[in-house]
Amino acid sequence: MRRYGGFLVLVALVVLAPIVFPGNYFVTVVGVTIAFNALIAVGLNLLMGYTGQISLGHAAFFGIGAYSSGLLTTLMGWNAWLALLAGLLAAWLVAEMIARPILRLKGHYLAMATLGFGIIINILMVQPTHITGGPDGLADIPTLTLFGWAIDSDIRWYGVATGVMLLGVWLALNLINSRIGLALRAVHGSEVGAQMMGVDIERIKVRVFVVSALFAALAGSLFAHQQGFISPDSFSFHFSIELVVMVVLGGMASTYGAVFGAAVLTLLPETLVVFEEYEVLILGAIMMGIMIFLPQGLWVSLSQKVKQIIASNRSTTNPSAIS
Amino acid sequence: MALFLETNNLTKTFGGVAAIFKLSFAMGQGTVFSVIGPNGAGKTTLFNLLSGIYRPSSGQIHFRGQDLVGLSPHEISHIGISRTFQTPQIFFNMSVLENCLVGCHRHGVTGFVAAALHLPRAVSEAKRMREMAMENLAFCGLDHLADRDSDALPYGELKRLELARALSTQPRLLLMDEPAAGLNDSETKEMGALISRLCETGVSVMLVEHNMALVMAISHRLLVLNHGEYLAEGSPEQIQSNPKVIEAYLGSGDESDG
Ligand SMILES: Nc1ncnc2c1ncn2[C@@H]1O[C@H](COP(=O)(O)OP(=O)(O)O)[C@@H](O)[C@H]1O
Ligand SMILES: [Mg+2]
Repeated sequence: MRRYGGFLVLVALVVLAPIVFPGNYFVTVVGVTIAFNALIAVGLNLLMGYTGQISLGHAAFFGIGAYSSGLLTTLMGWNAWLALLAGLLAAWLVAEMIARPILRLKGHYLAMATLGFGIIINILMVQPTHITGGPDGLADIPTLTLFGWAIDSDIRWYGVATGVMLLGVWLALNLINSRIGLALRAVHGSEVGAQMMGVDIERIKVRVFVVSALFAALAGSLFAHQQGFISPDSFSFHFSIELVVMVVLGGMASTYGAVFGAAVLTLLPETLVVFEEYEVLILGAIMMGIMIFLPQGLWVSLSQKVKQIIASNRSTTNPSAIS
Repeated sequence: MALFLETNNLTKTFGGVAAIFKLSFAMGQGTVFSVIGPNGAGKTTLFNLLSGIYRPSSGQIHFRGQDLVGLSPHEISHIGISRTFQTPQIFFNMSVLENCLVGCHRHGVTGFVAAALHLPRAVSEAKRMREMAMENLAFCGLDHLADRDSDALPYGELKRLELARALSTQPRLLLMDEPAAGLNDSETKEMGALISRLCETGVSVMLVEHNMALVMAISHRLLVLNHGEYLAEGSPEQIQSNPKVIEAYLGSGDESDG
């Protein structure tokens, strides 16, 4: 099917990369981080890009997944897969609880509320030092075992991380091309219009918030096992902002854009390290440039350019969204 | 038998000012029922009350025997009332067909899980909805534009798209807020013909419109509002010759001949 052509290309890229560049650091190490970030960004994009609801606190759900897995496997000796399920459940409950009051808010208020939520969760990771290890973090998290195989090498982790990421992309694509996806996009287009078409907008906003939280928590659990060590720094406000930048950089309301944005934002700092202390400066300048010259994001702008060139008879100017 | 739609002492105040005041009227099934009145008379407010966007300050609304007060817009949509808006509330981030598909939302049952897993029943439901949406686009003469981005449509077609989208909910009662505003003469005629045909297919239409020629031509009954209050009600002929109406609204000039 045409709709999934892009997906096949993505699968091919993921499979071919370690074959073409065997043992390459950027594929098997950075690639794993890209896969985790892409998974979160794809979920966050369902909420932000498609439904039009901002969250500046999604690092919290990444952290809830990571700490659930980390704590339950190290302190309680749980099976890692059970711990992962518990992490998803915890993220679900927390998301469900905060989404109801928070998603009634709009614009800046929603941004502030999610920001506050993220900060609170982050503090909860730091404060109970005797349990979480506080700012020093939590070490000795065992790796995953899948069908008797220990996921203990870079390439195995590459397989697991990208596999889960592709699963997430597939689920997101299905969702967006469905009755639910239409309703989500309708909420973005006009809340009152969507309501009048029979969409329970409060409920569907809560649902999509939960889904995006589950994507992040899943990435968090895997991240904890892959790293073997987690600390609150990885789940701070800073990372929440990076996630938003990934979604916006790739282009809102595009699943592939979110993957692309995650890849770019994960790779850029890695490649910019040669500039040492100017790294952050250059990164900031690049982002400002993109926002000024390609406000719809890299992926969406570029793919539109390509489409325009291919089919120059159909113009696609796209001033997005009404308020 | 319960009346199709009736309000009883319906009142809506904003900060002490009544936009609708003690309004009681009834509308019969299968009719085009127009609500007219000068700007600020409370017509849009009435629509917002009937569609659940506003909650009445006091009074009742009954639709086919059911109390509507306190229901949210999506619940009212499920009961069979839909509407178009004075300023079109098109989903500009979606194509023409997709806009219409959202109208089909209430006929579907596919949830997050079935959708994400692309289950066969989700797929067949999507196919059915597509057919339904295309039928409604065709009814409104928009089927050839199905794959267009809605933000690329001219205004007249946006108005018809809103109608097609509302029809996709399969309403018993359709509230139309100024469907001809901003349309040229031929588009206005088309819209009028569309509304009449719609009524023949069994959809009752409540119409707010400033184009008196159109209103008089297609309405069965009219309700006249003035400053949120009931002024008069009757057939187009009765309203056109009602001295109170002429004084308050139509003016002495006879430009309202339909
Ligand atoms: N949300 C609101 N807040 C305050 N006043 C409102 C609101 N909606 C309508 N009004 C007031 O109610 C009156 C009726 O407005 P409206 O129903 O839009 O009139 P119409 O559609 O007949 O032109 C106006 O005076 C308007 O200012
Ligand atoms: Mg009005």
